[in-house]
Amino acid sequence: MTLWNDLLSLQNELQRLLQAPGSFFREPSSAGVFPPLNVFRAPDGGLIIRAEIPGVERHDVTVTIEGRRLTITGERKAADLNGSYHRRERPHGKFARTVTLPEDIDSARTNASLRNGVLTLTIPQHEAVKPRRIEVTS
Amino acid sequence: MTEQPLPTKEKTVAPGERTRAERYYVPDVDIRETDDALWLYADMPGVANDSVRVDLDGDVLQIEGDVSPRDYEGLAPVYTEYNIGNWVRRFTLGDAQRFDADKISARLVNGVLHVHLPKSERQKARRIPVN
Repeated sequence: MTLWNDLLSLQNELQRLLQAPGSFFREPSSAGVFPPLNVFRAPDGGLIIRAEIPGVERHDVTVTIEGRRLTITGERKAADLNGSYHRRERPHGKFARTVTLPEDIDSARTNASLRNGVLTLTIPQHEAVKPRRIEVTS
Repeated sequence: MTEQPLPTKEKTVAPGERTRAERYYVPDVDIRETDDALWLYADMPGVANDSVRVDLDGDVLQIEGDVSPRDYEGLAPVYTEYNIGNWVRRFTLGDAQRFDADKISARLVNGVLHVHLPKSERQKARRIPVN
């Protein structure tokens, strides 16, 4: 599948950037930041933010936008305490992440959805910054 | 329950079956034992209900979930903190005979795989009355 190959080469590229000194990228998710985020640009210029929040219910996550600051807050409930644990690796508790949005997007039209433990925020680009073709008149 | 180490954390080809080069990651798990069952919870964000597999082969329990690359079609990364790939992890059950293999069940809830391994009747913890 070529898409997977594209993703693989993308990940290799990201890995290279991560190792570059003075890189703006942070270490991948195992650094312990919860939830880890990915930010993409869609073909139509819109911004797509994804956060992995497995086990979090829709009503336990809140997205707020204040100016250009977008904040995701929520809580991942602790697992059932009955019995004894052999292994306990999944993080739980309250979480908050904030990102600064670029200027060319229209955050008033943000759409949020939670599916299979992945929160997806879709923010369209401002109409004003989209490329337009201007008709030339005589 | 002990973990069976995978050949490498990110294997490209699994023994015997896989020919496509895909990335695999190891999900975080909680394993809880009660008097009558063993429960396993694995974080597999991005995996849909029909893309998860749970297999018990002898005493090796394997959990596997696929992430659809379609969700990422056409997207250009701006900033990334996590890589995208499928999930797989294997465990060796200390004594597989303890469990009722026919009654093992699994479901996926909000990107978390829940596996329920009931203990077979004779293995359930019992309180012995003291006369």
